[in-house]
Amino acid sequence: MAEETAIPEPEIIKISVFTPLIYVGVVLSVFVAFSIIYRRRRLNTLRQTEPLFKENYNAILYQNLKEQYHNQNIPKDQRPHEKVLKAALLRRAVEAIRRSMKLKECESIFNKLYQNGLIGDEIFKQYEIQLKFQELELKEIVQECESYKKGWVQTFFPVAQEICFNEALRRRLKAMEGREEALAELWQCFVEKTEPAKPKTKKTSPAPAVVNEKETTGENKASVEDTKEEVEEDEESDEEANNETQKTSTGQNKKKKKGKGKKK
Amino acid sequence: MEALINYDSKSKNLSISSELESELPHLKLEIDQLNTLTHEIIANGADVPPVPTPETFNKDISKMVRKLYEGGVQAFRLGKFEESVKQFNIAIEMITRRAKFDSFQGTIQELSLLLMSRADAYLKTKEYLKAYNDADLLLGMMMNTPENFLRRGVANYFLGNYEAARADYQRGLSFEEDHDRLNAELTICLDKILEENGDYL
Repeated sequence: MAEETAIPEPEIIKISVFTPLIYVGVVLSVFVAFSIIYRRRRLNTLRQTEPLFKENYNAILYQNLKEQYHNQNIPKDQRPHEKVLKAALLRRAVEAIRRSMKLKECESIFNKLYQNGLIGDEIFKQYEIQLKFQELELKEIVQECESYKKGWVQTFFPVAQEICFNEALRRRLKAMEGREEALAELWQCFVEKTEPAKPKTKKTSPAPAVVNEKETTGENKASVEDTKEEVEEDEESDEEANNETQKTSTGQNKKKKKGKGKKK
Repeated sequence: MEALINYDSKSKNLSISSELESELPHLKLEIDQLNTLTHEIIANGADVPPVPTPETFNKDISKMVRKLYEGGVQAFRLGKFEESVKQFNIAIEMITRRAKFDSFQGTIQELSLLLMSRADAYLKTKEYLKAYNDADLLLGMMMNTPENFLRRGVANYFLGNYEAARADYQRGLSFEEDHDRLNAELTICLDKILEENGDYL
């Protein structure tokens, strides 16, 4: 019986002191390798994502000028003037503001389209990345701005915003120049009807129901007070002329069909 | 690209090679804009551009614009519509030459006044496409003005876009129901549409 109950002594495996250290080392190195590979892949995917906007030339120009400004190899008189750098930074901020505003405008559209499944994950991710990128861009601009003059940030962004709006307005005015020809082409048939018939229209077609100066003056009231009185004087003389022309031309239609159009 | 951007320390202008100019027209545009802004900042004299307020608004340009506007109105009054268009054109050109950091609110007020007047002058000279353009831009700037709908409507009517003209008149009327001129023009336009459709009795 005594032989049966004898408990065999457990075999003690002798391991080196370095074994757990090696184990921890292996685990850590695997973790680090995984982290590096994962980050690299993520960075690659981020790099591969197509940006929503075109290349930001203003940011590139600013970086280029800044490098030149701090380059000791270039003689001091050939380095860009500080005001050039400030202007470049302002233009960079203008572009950042424009892009941020565009993204904000499109925020609800992107969300709605994504919720309805009309755009895929990729495009939505593209949008999110762009949003994050713009945030970082603005932060960098703030830092740069502080490096020129402390406290400039307070006035920097209102000025940049004003430049942004003024440039947008000028862009629209500029676009109007070419638009006229495009519209003429688009409505060619109609333009052919009206433009060459200029001399005829005076006799046969209805006289222009031109907006008389009454309307012009009406809006002047809102904007320029001083000119109001002057134009109001014109009003009376012009109104008479317009009334006459209307009576003679468009009035003919009115007599025949007054009120008929409204019914429809 | 970096090496191709040149800086002229005398004129404080940036430039790029002509090859790059033709290759990257957007970059050229940005460089031109930057040069303009640099000169405006230098001309301003301050260390940094001032915050745009009505006080910092360039009043010399405002005076000149006002004079040109008054000249245009005077010419309009005398029936010299081409002359008035010219005056308004110069005034608008002057507005676009304001410093970029001038107050936007002041600029837009001046511009809208001139665009309204120029649109009317164009309608008088029967340049309906140009009038349409001006009225369209005006509507982009201030949507809730029935007179601007009237302007665009009239331009559309004479361009033969009767349906568009009707839409404009109706939109204008949604802002001011009892606008006599809009109502009159709408009636004429609806008659014309009937006539065009062969429903004219």
